[in-house]
Amino acid sequence: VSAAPPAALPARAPWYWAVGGMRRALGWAAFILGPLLTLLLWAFAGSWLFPNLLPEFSLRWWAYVPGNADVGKAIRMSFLSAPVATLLSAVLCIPAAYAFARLEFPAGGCCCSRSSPQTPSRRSGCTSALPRCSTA
Amino acid sequence: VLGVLFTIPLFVPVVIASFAMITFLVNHGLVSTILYRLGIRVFPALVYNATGIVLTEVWTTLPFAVLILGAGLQAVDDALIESARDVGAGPLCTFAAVILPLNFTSTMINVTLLFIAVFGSFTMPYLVGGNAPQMLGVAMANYLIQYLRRTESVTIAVVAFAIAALVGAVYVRSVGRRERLA
Repeated sequence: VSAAPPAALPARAPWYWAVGGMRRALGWAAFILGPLLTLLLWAFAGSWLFPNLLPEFSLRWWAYVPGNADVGKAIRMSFLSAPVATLLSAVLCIPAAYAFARLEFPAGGCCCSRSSPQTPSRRSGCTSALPRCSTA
Repeated sequence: VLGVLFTIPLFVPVVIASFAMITFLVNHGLVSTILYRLGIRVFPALVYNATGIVLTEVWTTLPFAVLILGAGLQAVDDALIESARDVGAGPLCTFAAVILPLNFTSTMINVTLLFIAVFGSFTMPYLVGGNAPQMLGVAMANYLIQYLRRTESVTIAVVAFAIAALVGAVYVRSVGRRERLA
């Protein structure tokens, strides 16, 4: 597919929309949605043998999954661990993020390089702790 | 609409993405069925090998790349691209001379972070990959669990970490460069 952009672009469209065509968009849609669609079809399939385009539909597995005790336990475990991990990560990381964003200290990543190399750094110890950051 | 499409894999867990990709691409999957119906009877092996790993990794890392690169590309001024076009630059030349240098930081962030993510991935190559040449994560787990050779697996882990740390250093430098320019 030749990616020659049209001579006159629509005024509102971002420039990179002109690079891809409709065909490419459809290709991406097939690549992204295709696997998910296949999975969805399989979930409703009783059996799906090779040369058939569609499976024999059946809700057998939808009756099986809610009745399965192991699946229930797995769902409970996921619902237990996911919120706890999310909350814990937030509790631990919000103070850390605040420190990195607001406070000034030598080990603040490479953030010390915000000031130009000519002007002396206002942050004490910054240039000595990370000499590479202040060069170039 | 297309932007939303590209973020869909972000909300699909890797295990599910791997299973979806397998059912989509195996030699009795949906793609091969459609091709078979269209009369194409020769179908290459797309999963349980390196091709499958690459395709699924592309699928799962797509939203990250689109979000990071899209944010970087939106900052590129339209006027610069139009002026490049005015002086006779083709799309490829415009990309190499204008867009890529202006977008260098987000490209580097993308390349480094995604490299580390793909390099250390386990679930995806474990499910989609083949038996013989395995990715580092799967090999590590095999040495630890299957072959009961702990020291080997730990050594592999250290080597993998060293490579990832090297790429991480590149990432830190590019992020520092961005903050200096900002």
